[in-house]
Amino acid sequence: MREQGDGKRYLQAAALLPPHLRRQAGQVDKADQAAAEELRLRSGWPMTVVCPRGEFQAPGEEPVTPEDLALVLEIATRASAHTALERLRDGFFTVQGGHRIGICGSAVVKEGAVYNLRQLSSLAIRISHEVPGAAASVVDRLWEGERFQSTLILSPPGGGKTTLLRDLIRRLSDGEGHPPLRVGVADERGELAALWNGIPQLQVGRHTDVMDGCPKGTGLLMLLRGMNPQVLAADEITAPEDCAALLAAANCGVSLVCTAHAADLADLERRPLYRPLLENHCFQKLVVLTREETGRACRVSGL
Amino acid sequence: MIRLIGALLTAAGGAFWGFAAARRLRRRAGVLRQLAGAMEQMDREISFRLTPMPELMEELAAAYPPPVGTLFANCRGGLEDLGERSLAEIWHSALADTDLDLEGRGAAVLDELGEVLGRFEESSLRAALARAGAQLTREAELAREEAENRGRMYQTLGLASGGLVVILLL
Repeated sequence: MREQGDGKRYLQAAALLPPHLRRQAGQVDKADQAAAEELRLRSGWPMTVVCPRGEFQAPGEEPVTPEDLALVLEIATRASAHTALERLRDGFFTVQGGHRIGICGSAVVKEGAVYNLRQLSSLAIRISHEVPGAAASVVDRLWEGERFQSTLILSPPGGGKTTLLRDLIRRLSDGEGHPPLRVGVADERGELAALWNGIPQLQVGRHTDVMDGCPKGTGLLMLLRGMNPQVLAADEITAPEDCAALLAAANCGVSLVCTAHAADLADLERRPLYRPLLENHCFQKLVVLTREETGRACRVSGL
Repeated sequence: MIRLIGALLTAAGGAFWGFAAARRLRRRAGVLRQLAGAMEQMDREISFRLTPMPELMEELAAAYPPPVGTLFANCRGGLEDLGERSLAEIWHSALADTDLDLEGRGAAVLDELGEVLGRFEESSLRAALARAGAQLTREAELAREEAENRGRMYQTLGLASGGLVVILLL
């Protein structure tokens, strides 16, 4: 599984930059544009591009200024920072095209929670990659007879979980190789479908209902009650509320497909958060993603 | 006959000047009142729906008659250039392109708003909008009082000056 595009998504992400930085980003080698994973802007330093081969400086010596960072935020939010900063506690927000913007700066804390950044110091634009076919090698192994088995996808951060999950959702929803299923997606941070004006910017299939912007636990329960899903999907299970909602859904006969940050099953079992899900056999299949020299590899096993 | 027509035109000119000045003061009070209402609507929209700025501008452009509606329509149009220009620049050119005919504190409040819109999280933005709304309401009230007091004075002055010029010329 290789997450490389034709550079269109890179240019879409570069369009979020102020004009002079956009020009610099446009001068990056075409092969690097296609493979680029992130654009990084740090106040006082020239912009850099992150590729599988490493992080390198974009053409041009001009350092990024705090005003540039503010302008990126303004462009990315369509001059509506108030719509994105609500998600600041997550450390990033998702913009049109499904790209992720992570922000750093001097935090303003009220009642123990970060609710704004007084001054931005750096930004990372993580370029969203859609890899149709990412789940092709695993999807057939996740069915038993006529039933899709609840599946948990594991990898460390940046391992390609979201990309695999998105393609899996699309395949289940469009019925590629199997009958189509109604899939409910709790897309808390807009990374899976990247809804924009109600339309998914990334392909999640024609029988998919997306609930975005609300906590995953709440979204999963709303989908379960209101949309009669056959499969419920959620990215990055990180909170007890998410686990409680998944337990409730599993007991209703709905198949689950989720991701979690973990290197492997042993790593997952060490975390108390996931114990109820494992003890109650909410998942029957485990997909572990690893990064190898030839690309990324998937290993499927039973749970 | 020609002298009579000339006299009438001179008197009418003076009266017109006085009435126009009074109308301008009344219009200014109306514009400030509408702008204060627009600030309130923005605050409401952001509070209930976290409405993005382009959509907000569209709604305000449709909700208010010119010139207030025109200001928001100009700003919405300018947002197509976002990326080339900042919202602050877009807002300032929309203000320059719209005939709001404001001066003093009222104009300054709108000018300052350009540095706030689209930059802050909900509570700070709403606080700024509430402050701008309160200042515009106060300015609208002052403008209304001015229109009542000075408006009558301008009308009288216009009529009187027109009459005086006629007497002097005759």
